[in-house]
Amino acid sequence: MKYKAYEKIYHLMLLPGVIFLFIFSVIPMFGVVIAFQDFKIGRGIADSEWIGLENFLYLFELPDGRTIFYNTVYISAMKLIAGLIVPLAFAILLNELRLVMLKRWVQTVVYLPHFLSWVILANVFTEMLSLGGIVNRVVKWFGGEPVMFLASNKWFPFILVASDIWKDFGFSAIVYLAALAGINPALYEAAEMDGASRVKQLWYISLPSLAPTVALLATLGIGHILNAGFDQVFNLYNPLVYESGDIIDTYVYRVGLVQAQYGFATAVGLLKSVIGFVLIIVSYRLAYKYANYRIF
Amino acid sequence: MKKRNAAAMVLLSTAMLAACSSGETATNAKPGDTKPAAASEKVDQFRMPGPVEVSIFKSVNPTAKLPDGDTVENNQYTRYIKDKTNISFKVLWYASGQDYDQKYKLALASNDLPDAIIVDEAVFRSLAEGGQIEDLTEVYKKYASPLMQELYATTNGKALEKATYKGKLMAIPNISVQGDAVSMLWVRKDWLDKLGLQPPKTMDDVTAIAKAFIEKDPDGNGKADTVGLTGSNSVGASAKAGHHSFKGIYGAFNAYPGNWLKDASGKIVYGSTLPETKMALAKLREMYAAGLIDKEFALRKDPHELVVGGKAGMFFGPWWSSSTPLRDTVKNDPTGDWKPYIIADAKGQLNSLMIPVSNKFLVVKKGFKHPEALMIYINTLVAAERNVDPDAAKLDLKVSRGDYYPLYSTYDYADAVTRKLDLLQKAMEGKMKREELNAELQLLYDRAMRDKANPKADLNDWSATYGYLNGGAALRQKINEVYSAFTSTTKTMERRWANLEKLESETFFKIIMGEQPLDAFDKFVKDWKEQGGDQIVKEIEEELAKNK
Repeated sequence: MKYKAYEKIYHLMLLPGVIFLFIFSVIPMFGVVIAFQDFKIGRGIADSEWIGLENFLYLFELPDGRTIFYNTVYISAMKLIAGLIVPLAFAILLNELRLVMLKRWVQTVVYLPHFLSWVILANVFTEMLSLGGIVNRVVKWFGGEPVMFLASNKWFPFILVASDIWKDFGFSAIVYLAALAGINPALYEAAEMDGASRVKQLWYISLPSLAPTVALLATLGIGHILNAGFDQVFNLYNPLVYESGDIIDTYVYRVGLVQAQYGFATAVGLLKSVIGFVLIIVSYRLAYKYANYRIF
Repeated sequence: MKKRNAAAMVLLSTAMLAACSSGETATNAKPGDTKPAAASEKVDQFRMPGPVEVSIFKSVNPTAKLPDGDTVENNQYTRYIKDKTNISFKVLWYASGQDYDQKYKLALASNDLPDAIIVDEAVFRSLAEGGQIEDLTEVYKKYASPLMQELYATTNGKALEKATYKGKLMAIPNISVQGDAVSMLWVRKDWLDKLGLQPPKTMDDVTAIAKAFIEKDPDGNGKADTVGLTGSNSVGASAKAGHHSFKGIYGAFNAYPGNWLKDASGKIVYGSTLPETKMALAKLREMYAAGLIDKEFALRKDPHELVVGGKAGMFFGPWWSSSTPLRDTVKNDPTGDWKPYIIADAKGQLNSLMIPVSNKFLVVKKGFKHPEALMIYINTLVAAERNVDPDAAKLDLKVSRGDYYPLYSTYDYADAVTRKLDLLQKAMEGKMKREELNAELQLLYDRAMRDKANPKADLNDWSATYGYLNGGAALRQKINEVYSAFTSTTKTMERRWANLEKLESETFFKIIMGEQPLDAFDKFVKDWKEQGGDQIVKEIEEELAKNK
């Protein structure tokens, strides 16, 4: 194979990214050995005791292991599904707006919450969902009994999903809007000539064009299914909703950091990454097999 | 061979230090510096011979205020310390509350210690075990000021003992004021009088008062908007009397959840699993169901709001609650007349879990060149705090000391509250002259007299003295003092504690809030023992036997 001169420059442009990944992602990988140790900071990696798979076995032995795992997958799956549908629907509706100024304004307003931290939002939601808060005032207006939403195992997972979607749907919609903007307008023009209605255009042109993007995001999302959102849960939960809201990350935080079980925390992190990796490969294969869709 | 070398090094370096500092001593005589601890070598216990910089992390309360232009790194306290001691502190980062804990533990995890840091007992032990911190034995011998030695003496040597690891002093321990442990029920006396009620003595009185406060509209605004009793989002009983905690109620049932106790036969038992705790939970559950406890206590991020906003007429807190939250409460409503009561158990006894003599440890990173700087700093801090140094009177105490001194912890007489109250009262009654008081008490006396002449005119004067005259006075009652038998961690605890803690707080919250029946407690005890509790008890007994 023969390189052309400008191709060399392209490869050089890759270099900073490669170096960055090497320093911040590859080198720290060696730290995962502490997952197999009874790690003590004072002794360091070299002198800490090797304990094999004990950290992993302990995870499965935990009486709460199953609940935590279930919560994580349940909350994460709901977020994944809602996180695909809501921004998609929003992007399509927004795309139908013909007033450009209004469209831009709406887009800006809905993606702003993405930039607020959960520390701030958690306080806002706690206030809104309290017994005297705005939500309960509405409930009372309709003759209902006030509910302590953030103390209720029934409501807590839904609050997590709803608040997460509220925060991010505007931002996620950007990808879809970009994909929609990339569709050749000639397709729509041709469809109009053939007498297709707005709905038909949506069904036969917009949606099929968006399908690869949806598949890509879903595939990537499945790899993160064990990340149910530490920041959010950590800032919103309390002991009353451990049962329905405690996820792997918050549990590991309490065990790993607060109780200084670094080896154990690393073991859980490693396990999460391995499972995520396997899931990504599987879903990617499935996407190829059934939707004939590949990234590479 | 190695050992001898090390010893020689220590000798050599101390000799050099002594040589450097001896020249300074004569010109810089400091108050309280009457006789140096080690007679043979003269060192200045209040000043470094040359400038020294110490790096630290800082925990700062987000509500703490500074005068314009001042910063965490440069404020009246840091300037004062720099002027006096030649020591400056470099703040690597600062954060608040939980964020601070999180960040400093991350720093510890990556072995990224600052030159000096204050840690709790478990972290201190692990740092000492890991050989990450300096041996301060010699430093203490040579540099501890007479006042510091006097303070440590009031703990019967217990404080220094706690900071000793394998025969070496590895930290400068704090000295907790025992009075800070007692949880008192602060009640609005004017509401009691208005409704014709007697002050509370037992839990039944508390229930009755809470009911009256809710139903009989004590604030007279015609609305049923008052909360009976406040609570916080933690249901345990910590050593210090936290605000809004249920410690006072547990005490009234002779229960000490979260602590290791010795039973009648001398065996170690865990307070949270005992029948007394179940009884206390039953009472809390009953009160919650009757609407006497704040419905949302488990979710409240800042229960002070209820008190400051005039919504609550009762809350549990320490003797010094006059400064927080009552200072702001009285500012909003000067008619409030708050009085503290300690609630008795069924036998009429007043119980309180006490604070370990030391629970905060100032440690110095291994390899830091001037560990003595930290002892000098503490000497100076304590001299300022106790007002032994007249210059310290110029400091504006409205600026939070805990937030803006570079490193801050309590170093005081173990019985400081009643000791100072006695002197203050004697002076106020004219049995003692103002001049006979030490500088710290003169300041307090002046404030008390100003407030007496012009009540509540200056709320800083009011809150400083009100705590002593009311909360401090309540401490004079005979209190059954209960001490934790064990305050460190064991091997199984490291592993299992997060899980057991979760089990406990989840169960307790659910029992109190009525989501689970009271008998869920029995299942909790069984689970707790099975999931590592029994093993931990065994380990603690072994540990205690070893230390005997």
